[in-house]
Amino acid sequence: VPADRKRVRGPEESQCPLLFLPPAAQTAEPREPRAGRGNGEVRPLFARCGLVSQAKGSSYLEAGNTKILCSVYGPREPERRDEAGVRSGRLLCDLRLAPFSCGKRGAWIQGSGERDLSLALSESLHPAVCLHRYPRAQIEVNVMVLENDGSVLAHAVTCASMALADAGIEMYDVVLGSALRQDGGASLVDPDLAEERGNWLAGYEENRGGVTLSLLPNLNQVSGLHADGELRADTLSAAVRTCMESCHKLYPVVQQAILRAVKRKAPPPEK
Amino acid sequence: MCFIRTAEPLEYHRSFLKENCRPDGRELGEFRPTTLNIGSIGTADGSAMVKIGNTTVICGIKAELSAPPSDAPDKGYIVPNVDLPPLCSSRFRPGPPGEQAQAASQFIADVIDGSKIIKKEDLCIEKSKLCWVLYCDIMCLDYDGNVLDACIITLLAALKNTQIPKVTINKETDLAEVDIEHKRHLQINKHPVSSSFAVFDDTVLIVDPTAEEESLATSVITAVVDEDDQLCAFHKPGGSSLSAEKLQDCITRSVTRHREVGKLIDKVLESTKASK
Repeated sequence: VPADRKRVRGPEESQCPLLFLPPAAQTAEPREPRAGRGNGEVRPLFARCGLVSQAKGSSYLEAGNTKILCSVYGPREPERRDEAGVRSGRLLCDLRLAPFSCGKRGAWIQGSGERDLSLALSESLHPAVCLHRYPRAQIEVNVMVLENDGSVLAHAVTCASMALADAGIEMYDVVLGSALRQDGGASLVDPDLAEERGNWLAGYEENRGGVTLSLLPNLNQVSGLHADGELRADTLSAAVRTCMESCHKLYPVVQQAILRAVKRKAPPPEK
Repeated sequence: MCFIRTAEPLEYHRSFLKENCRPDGRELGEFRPTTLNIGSIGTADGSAMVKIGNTTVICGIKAELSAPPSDAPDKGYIVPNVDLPPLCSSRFRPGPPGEQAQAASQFIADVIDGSKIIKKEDLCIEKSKLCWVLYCDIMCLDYDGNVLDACIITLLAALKNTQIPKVTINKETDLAEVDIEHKRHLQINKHPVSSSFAVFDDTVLIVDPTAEEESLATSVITAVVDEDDQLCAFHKPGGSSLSAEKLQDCITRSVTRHREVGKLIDKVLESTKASK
């Protein structure tokens, strides 16, 4: 690992204290049913736009304990002129997990996991933004995850599209994300971190995996689909349908948040 | 004579300073409204978020275990790091930390060492074998000037909020054993608070500059004072020269600021304890 000369250095190696828990605490706890919500219910969502004063558009989203902040800059001149497309603009997405956001401290330097998530985010947002209206320009979307409690990619997609709407970027539709975790027979929508990781002590069982879906609700088109684990074909199609339904459930909250931000920026004329 | 803010920013600001006030309506010696939120990040061992006007900074503290340094076997580590991501302002580009972020990280590290906010000996669990490493990750979420002040306040509040579990070393296996049920707060010895100033045209001193004022200023100064009215750090990286009285003014103003911020932090900590 190359020495990071630009940051204050700590010890060469350090371990998370959770690795040293006494064996008694590590036995599998019986999995409690989800407190307060059914298997098909999304966690209550808190969404606000327009929090970062420096950015063109920004949004903050909280789903359970997952906290995500997104800011959008642009359309502006690209840094490298030769990369500017004549016909359409560019959308640059960057998703970061803060070092204190996960149970085990993450490094400052972006790992491959974060790059994969950024790419997935970019793929999900691309079809919705009218890039042909911004030729030779670049739009930057920066997402920061402050606390990771599961379903990060799904909520990052929702947060990013609210920020794009707040910035006034032309879009065909908002993009909403939702995640699902398949655990044997149970499909858990919007899993938190414990549910997402699954229970490694439970042993091998068929149908264990997760699905993340990005949907354009008004056009009813899917812009991104990620699945991992082992799922049967019929389970996978049922999971996709469940995710689409939960996206539709999220839509009113997102609509409210964007309307509020618009009303604040451009208050309706007094009669 | 009316000056346009975007065309002639310096003249615009000067016209306000002549009347002893600033474009956002503040007095020369007035700080922006400061709000504080403690303990919102569940995954961190301690966290705090501060807003000074529009500038928003969040600090998350994670404690890890490691062997003590070979040249100081009875001390632990405190590793602060300031990040100015492209999220907070369009002036920062993605990639490794730029000059400003590196300077801020080093400044915070110097303040921690100089003010002895935490004694590194308290972080040692067993001499030469095991010690705590406190990673203080400070991130700016919205950059509108005066980041250093916000970083120090958020660091202090997060350290006061941090709870670390009890650790013992098992004599037989020589491995650490962490007792996650029993947590204790850190021992905070000193409470440093910083105040930043900017100098316009080598003469006028203003307090808590915004990003625009910082870019037009001829010099920036940061003074860090602790609760015994002792000066912990004084940071003046180049810029126009100042007389001794002006420097003394800065220090006096910092002492007043310390009282305000101290009260704010205590009030917020009380309310978080009460709500539990």
